[in-house]
Amino acid sequence: MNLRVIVTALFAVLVIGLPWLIPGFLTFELTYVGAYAIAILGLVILIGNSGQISLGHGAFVAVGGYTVAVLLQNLGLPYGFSLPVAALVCGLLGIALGAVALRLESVYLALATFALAASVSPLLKRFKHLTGGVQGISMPSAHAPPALAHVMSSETWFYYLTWGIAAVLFALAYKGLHGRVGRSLRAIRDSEIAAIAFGVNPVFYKTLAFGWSAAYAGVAGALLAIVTAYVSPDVYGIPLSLTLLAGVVMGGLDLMWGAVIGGIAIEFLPLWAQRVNPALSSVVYGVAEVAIMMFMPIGIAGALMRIKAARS
Amino acid sequence: MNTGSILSAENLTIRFGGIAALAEVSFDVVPGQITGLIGPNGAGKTTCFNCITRLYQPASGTITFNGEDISRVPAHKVIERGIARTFQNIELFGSMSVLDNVQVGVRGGRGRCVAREMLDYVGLGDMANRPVRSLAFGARKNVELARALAAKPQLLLLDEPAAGFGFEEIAVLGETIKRVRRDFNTTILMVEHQMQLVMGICDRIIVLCSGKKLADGDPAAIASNREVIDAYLGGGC
Repeated sequence: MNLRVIVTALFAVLVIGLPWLIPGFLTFELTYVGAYAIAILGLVILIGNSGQISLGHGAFVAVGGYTVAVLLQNLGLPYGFSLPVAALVCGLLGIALGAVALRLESVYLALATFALAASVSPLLKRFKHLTGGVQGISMPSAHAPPALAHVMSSETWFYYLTWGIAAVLFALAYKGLHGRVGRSLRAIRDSEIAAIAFGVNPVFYKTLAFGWSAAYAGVAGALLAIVTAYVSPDVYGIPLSLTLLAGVVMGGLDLMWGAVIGGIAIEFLPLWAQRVNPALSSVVYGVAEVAIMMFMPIGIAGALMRIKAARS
Repeated sequence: MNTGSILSAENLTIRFGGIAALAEVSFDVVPGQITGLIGPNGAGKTTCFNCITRLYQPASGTITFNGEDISRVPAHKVIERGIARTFQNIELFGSMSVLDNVQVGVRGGRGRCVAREMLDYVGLGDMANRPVRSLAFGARKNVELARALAAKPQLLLLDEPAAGFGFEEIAVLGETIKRVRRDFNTTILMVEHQMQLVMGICDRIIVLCSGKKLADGDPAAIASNREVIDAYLGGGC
């Protein structure tokens, strides 16, 4: 327990201090890590705790990003407003998908959510007047608020914004997953009939898990859109959904801080693979993923926990 | 319906495909008693439990609990009415700790305290923080019992509590069940094959065979019932 507090505090200090020690482009990449970590945390809730799979969470990342872009372009609404709206819209869509998911299991659910991932880009291209079609929407690049602008660069500001929001969402998830909600989700996953017999409403909790995780994906999408100042259909294709899934599996399915590790992995592994061999980067990336799963089948976070348990 | 009963099933009928798993089964459970539900394999005993806990919707018939018709109550609300159960094949939450398993059973506040009390009661206080899947078979059955007791049920349904137990363990189990009735002031309905246990602790016994009620009475009457003996010795029913 104490160790957990110390590690969390050290991590917080590290996150706060880093932008002042590293070059700007790395700060930019770490901002991505923060956003990915939020989306992956959503999958920890959904897949790791409620036991429902989604191969389509890239769709919610897309909706989150486009919500921000469309609200800015058409109504001139600022991020402070559109970000919560993105969370809400995705949360509601997630609940709707969750209602469908109640009727599907395992491989059927995987296929249905995969179809969702596949349909995003074509749908975005189809509704040109709203989404800008193939070109997407470019937004004026945002800057740090005037009061902070002379203290920090816009990269640093986005970094703090992203990690600040991540901190809040992680705290919320911690509270939820360590209380009755988390217990109920895992109870349904482990034995649905026993969960029902002891008063857990599976319809409510399974749908909640979808809505909750979709809202997180939406926030991640909104942050990514704000940081890159650009949304386009091809960013949100099937690969994004699969990358998020790879992130949660590599990090560790049922450990919250595995989401951070998963975020680091999906941001930096491809970059590292690129450096190892530019021509075969995706092969190197793939092999690295396979190696991680071979040697750490319960994810990197899971493997670290196991080492810690073995020592004590 | 018998007005003195806590649970009353009337004309329960349920079919799976063409087979009537229960056909017009009626019985009453008297408050404070330990009632045994026995019968050969496939008699419909567990089906009966699943109807009472609303996992199955009977085709016809009613189930009355404490004067309320619960035939339309959603399955996850049955526990609020005061009915808790254990399962024939242990149904614990395998990824969770022993304590968390029991805490799922607690209604209302003070969840962790109540869960700890129940674990102490079944003699598993030391195991609270162990992963439940690391426990031995018998201990896991006791976790199920603790989880059910944590809900403070008025009616406790035990589905084959002695299954997998040896002779001595069964004797201990019999004492435990009697102690539970006394300490928790609860009514018990128990599906069981182990005749020594059933005859030893039940106040009343209901016999099912091929989905029909064959007999209903005190242990002595059941033990000498011709039809029951025939059913158990393979004479059919």
